[in-house]
Formats: sequence, structure tokens, C-alpha cells
Amino acid sequence: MSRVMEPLAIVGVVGEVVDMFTPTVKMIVTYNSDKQVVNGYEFMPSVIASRPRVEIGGEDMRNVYTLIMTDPDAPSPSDPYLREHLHWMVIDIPGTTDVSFGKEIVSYETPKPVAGIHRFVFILFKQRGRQTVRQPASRDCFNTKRFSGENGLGLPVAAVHFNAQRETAARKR
Amino acid sequence: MGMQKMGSQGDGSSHHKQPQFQPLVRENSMYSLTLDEVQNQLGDLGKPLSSMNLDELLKNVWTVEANRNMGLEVEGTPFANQTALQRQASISASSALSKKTVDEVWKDIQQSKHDGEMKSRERQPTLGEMTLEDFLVKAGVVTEAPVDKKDGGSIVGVDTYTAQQFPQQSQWVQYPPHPQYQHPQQSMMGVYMPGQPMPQPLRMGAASMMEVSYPENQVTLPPPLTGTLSETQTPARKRGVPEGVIEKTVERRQKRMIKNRESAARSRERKQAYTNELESKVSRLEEENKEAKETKGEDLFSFTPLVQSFYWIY
Repeated sequence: MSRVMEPLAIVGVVGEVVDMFTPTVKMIVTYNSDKQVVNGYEFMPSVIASRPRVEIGGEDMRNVYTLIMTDPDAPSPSDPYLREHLHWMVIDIPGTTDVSFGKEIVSYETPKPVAGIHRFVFILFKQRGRQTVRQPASRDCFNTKRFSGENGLGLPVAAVHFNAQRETAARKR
Repeated sequence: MGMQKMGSQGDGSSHHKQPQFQPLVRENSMYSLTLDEVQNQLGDLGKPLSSMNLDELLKNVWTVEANRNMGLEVEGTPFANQTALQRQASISASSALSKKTVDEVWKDIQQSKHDGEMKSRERQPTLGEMTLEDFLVKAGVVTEAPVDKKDGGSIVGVDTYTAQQFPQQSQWVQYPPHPQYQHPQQSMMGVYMPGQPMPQPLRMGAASMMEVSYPENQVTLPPPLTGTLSETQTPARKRGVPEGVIEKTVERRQKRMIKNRESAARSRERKQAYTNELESKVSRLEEENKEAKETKGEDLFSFTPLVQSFYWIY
């Protein structure tokens, strides 16, 4: 496994949310214009209240990508019976640009973890073509692997995750 | 000692911790000696055992045990002291019982036996032949775990959870062999020790594992993690706690343990993942830095021809 993939595998993102993959496209997620998302970092809920900036690589503007943000620890990591909770989905993002150039088919929902420390995962897929991705039925009980299969997205080309918990719980630490 | 209780991994399934009470019942523990033998061990105390009150008896036993343990293992030393202190703190809380002399307690035991509730196998013809453990159990100082509930797998890794509070110590805590199982827990509990009374040995539900296990530590003798202490800690029970209640409590406790263990594992994963990420980042940055320096070197050289050509013009 490449060194880059280790953190994702250790916390079970690779495994529970996506299958093992090789990252081929650069993706940089930044909250508040200065807080870059780094695997395993914990953010305060206030920081992640609004959608982040997401810049992607890829060699060609003609390729389009789908970004998914999901929470596999809904409603709580010890009993995630609502896994996954879909927070955000943007499709048709042209390569080498950022999400503002794509189409937001599921609006950004502010993470509000009630119980436990949740993982929040950003996953980038390369689409087969424009407008090949359909809006999912609901946010609850979302399944990234299944969604990818249904929309011909294949394996991810990039992924990153962070942690967050309830504000009051986070401040006590 | 013949029992390896601590050789286990940090995560999940491979935990094999034996119940707290086992080491005390087995080798090297004074509790398995008969009262006659205990008296010998205690040496010249100036008083025969039977006229000591329980407080004194227990203190003496612990002091002797602590001294023995200190001699056995260097690592155990601070904790043996802690253990002794803890026990003293806890047992003296049950003041009603502790002021009774051994003799009086023995009479009580015999009296209650006459009520026909004791099983025949536990009948002791004389006080001196009874083991210290049995005596204390019958006296109501501690309660005894039912034999069939001893299960190394189910009563697992309490100190793992506590160890999570002290991650840098956790490795140490889990691996060194101890004659007494309690030591690692004591070390974890060390911070939480002072002032906590003996009661509430079973605070399930809201209580964290730390809180549940800690009072059990205080109840030095085989505190049944199996939940016979479901009401209060003082009266000894062979009767009165219905089987169903005991089992539910056991189940709840086990579930709590499992949940805690998983939570601890997730916590370790988070930590490890972040560490890995940072290490990668550092190494990438070091590479970049190295390259930047080299690149800078080249640029310096490339400037000189220009400078020379200026001079030439002048």
C-alpha cells in the first residue's frame, strides 16, 4: 500500500467507505481559506460549518469529476445504523478546476455530530462522461460503493478525511 | 508466577485478561491460606488472630503481602504500596464490620450457617482451618464470585480502557508480568484513587468502565465482575440476588466492555493515522527543501556570466 493510502486504511475509510484504490488525481480541500484538510486532523464544528474550497487536478479540462462528502459514522461511530450520511455532492467538475465549476446536486449540509467522534470523507471520482450521474434518493443510509456502481464511477481517484465531534465535547479535550 | 494474564494486544479481539479474583485465590496469595497459616505468616503480632478486629487483620495481611510482593518484583513496588493503601482506605469504610473481632465474626458465621443457608461444601469445622478468603467472604467484607462464572474471555481488558487515558504508558502496563493482576489497574487508577468510597461497585449504564472497575479493585478479594454486587457491597450473599438479575448485569457489563474496547481501538486508529500523515508530510517537505537548496545553487552559478558581460561592456 502506498504511504499516502495508509491513513485512510488505518481508520477504515478504505474498507468501509471505499475499496482500496490508487490515488491519481490531486485534490486539495480547504476550509475557511486557510485550513487545509489533512487525513486524521480534527476540526471544530464551527470551522466546517460552510462548504470548503476543493481544487482538483487531472490533466484535462474535458474530463469531469464527481465529489462526494459522506459521514460513515452516522449517527454514532459505536452504532452507525444510518451509515453513511451524505453531506454534499457536486458533479461535472471539470479537471484542473475546482468545485465551484461543477453542479451541486446535493447541497452542503453542515456536519453536526451528536455522539462520538465522526469521520468525514471527501471522495473524488472520475465520471465516464458529462451528466452520467444521477441525484441520489436520500442522504441517510447512503452507500458510496453502491452509488459508484450505479453511476459507472469506478474506483475513487482521490480521497481525504477529517474528524469532528460535538463542539462542547471537543472543547473539553 | 504461573499465570500470564497480561500478555495481550492493544486492540480488540485477542484480549485475554483473567478475572481479577483469580490471582488472589491462587499461588502466592495469603487469601488461599487457612487462618491458622495466616496467623503463622503474620508472625508475632502480640495478639492472637481471633481477638483482632477485622480492620487490624486486613491491614496486617496486606502489609505482609505488600512486603512479599515488593521483594518479588521491582516494577510492582510503587503499586504494591498503592494497593495496600487503597485496600486500607476501602475496607475501613465498612466500619461496622471492621471493628468486630475475628472471633465475633466467626460466631456470626456459625450462627447464619445454622439457618441452613450455607451449602455443605463450605462448612468448616474450626475457624483455623478456614481459608482467609472464605472467612472474609462469609464475614461479608467481600463477596465471592460464583465458580462457574469465571471466564477469562468475558472479563476482559479493563485496564485497556484505562490505559487509553495514558497512551504512553499503555504498552508498559499491558506487558510486564505481575504476580497480582491488580497492579496495572492500580497504576491506571492511581490518579483516581483518593477519596473514592467503596460503595457503588456496579454503576452500569452511565458509568464509565473506569468507574466500574475501580471500586472493584478496592474490594480486594475476588470482586466478582460477574455482578453479584448488584445491590450494596456490605452483606455477603449466597442468596437474595436472583439469577436473572445477575445475568443481565453481567451482560450489560460485557457489552459496555466491548463498546469501550472498540472505542479505544478507534481512538488509537485516529492517532496512528494522523501520525502517519504527518510523517509523510514531513518527509515530503524535507525532500522539497533539499531540492530547493540544490536548485538555488544552480541559479547562483548561472548569474556570473551576465555579471562578467556587464563589466566587459564598461
